[in-house]
Amino acid sequence: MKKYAEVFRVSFKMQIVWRFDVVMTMAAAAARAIAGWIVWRVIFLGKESVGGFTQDAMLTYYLISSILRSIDFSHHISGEVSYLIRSGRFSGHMVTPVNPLGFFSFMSAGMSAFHLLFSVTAAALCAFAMGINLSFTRDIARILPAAVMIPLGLTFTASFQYLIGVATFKFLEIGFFMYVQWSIIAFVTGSMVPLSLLPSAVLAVLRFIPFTHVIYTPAMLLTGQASAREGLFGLAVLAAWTLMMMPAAHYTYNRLRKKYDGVGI
Amino acid sequence: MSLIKTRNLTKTFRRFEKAPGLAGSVKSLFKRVYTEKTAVDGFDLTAEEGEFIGLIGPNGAGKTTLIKMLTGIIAPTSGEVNVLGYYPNKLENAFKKQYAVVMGQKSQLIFDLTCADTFLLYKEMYEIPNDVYKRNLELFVDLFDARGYLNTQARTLSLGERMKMELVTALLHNPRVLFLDEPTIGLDAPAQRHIRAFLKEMNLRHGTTILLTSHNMEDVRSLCPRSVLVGSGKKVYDGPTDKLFDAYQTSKKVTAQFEDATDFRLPENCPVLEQNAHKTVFTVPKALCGAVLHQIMRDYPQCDLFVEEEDIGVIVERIYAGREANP
Repeated sequence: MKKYAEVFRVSFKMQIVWRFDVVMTMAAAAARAIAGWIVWRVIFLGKESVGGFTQDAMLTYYLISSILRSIDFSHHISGEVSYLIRSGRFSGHMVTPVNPLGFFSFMSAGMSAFHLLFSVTAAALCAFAMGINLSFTRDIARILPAAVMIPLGLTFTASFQYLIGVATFKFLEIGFFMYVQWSIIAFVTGSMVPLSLLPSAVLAVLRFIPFTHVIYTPAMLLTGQASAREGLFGLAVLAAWTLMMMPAAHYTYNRLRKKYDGVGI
Repeated sequence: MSLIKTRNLTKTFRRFEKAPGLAGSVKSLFKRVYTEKTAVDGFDLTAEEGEFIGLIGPNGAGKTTLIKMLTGIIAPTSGEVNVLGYYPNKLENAFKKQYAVVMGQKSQLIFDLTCADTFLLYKEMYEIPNDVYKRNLELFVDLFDARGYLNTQARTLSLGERMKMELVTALLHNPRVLFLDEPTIGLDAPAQRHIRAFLKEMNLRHGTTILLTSHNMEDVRSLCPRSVLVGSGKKVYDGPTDKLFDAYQTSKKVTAQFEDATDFRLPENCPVLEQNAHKTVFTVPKALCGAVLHQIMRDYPQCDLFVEEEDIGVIVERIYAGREANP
């Protein structure tokens, strides 16, 4: 485990090397919070609630979901793995005694930790400056499943994106596929709009999809909009998918790498 | 027991081909045409503990493919391969902890961080005990006189400094086998000498078995008592390096350069490779080299002379020609 802790530390150190980038990360986190505040203020003009949310509940949901979205760097994994395979540089990960899935997951976690620091700070400052009355739940039965679902969700998405990335061993070019799946995932995670605004038939299907429980369910739990029972159901679905995805990603890597020629690189 | 053993090792690649132009591209969308290339063909190789072997051959001969199979990066199409008692392509951690690979054009350093940060990462990845890590780092830093840039961001290092740090990274965990692919490519003469001295030290002092791939004949001649020559995926020669060069290197390549335009007359029996008013490149039979150089320095005192080993491709062709003449 120490080796993965060092990978995490390396990733975190890489985030704070470039000062301009650090400043821009802080600015982007603040800009996201301000943009959300403006958009939802306009939508709520003359209305008491939208889709069962009050304005404060919606803004709290938006801030939590945007924080969760900003710390999910799993989409970098598929892009990075794909690039490394195509350029022949993935071999560096094959000859070192570290599981590549673990390596990329902890690199991603290091980035998440850095962005979490700034996103939470920026969101808190913006909420204070704009007088948003954040409405968090105090119900421990909702907070606990949410607290487990957040790292579990990041683990799931890391494994899923790694699996997509290693498909490059077989297909060599997966750029368009990556773009399409990122767009679909951005929607079904609920980071664009709360999924409760969708028709109930769609929601019933989405409950069994893991991506729904990566951002949407934890955000709904923390804002008190989802029940503890829904939280436990989401946790079970996410855990089941994660338990399947990790070995699937590992198996796919081991299977496809053996067929890879690496000709000319 | 041999550390490396291959028998009839073969790797065949499938390569996509298409006709030129837009029509060719559209056609290839519907009908794919593949050709097969045998990069390594029935290769037998053994290496004993502590050997320093030069793996030489022209571009596309199959050297890098062979290294990739020995390190497990790619799987062989057929044949047997055993490195340190393992089948490399299983990529077991216990196997990976016993060797290291340095490819001159692929860096292991984390460019945004310092070399010391990369070393710390490798310490944990290879689970190197603290005392071994400290001892090795001290030793390598002293050998390379590299203390000054240990805490420097890797991206700001010169090519020579970077290669030294690549070697330190690779050797921190005391690998039993070191695979080197073009470690001196692009380096100036002093950096090349420094790296050669380091590798010699590692081989002699630590008994590290080293398999060196290089186009730089000086690397091979000065470091490797044994050479394996590869041509078109096949083993062309396996034996003492001195014998290889004595038997098949019949000429030297000489470059004569002039600052002012000069009407340079070629010495007799020296075929020209390239000539213009400022530069002439020609080959000189090895036996005549001293006399020819002496004559040029006497006749053209303002001339700059460079003497190089013959291109390895020429030696391969000569060995093939010799076999055809005396099968």
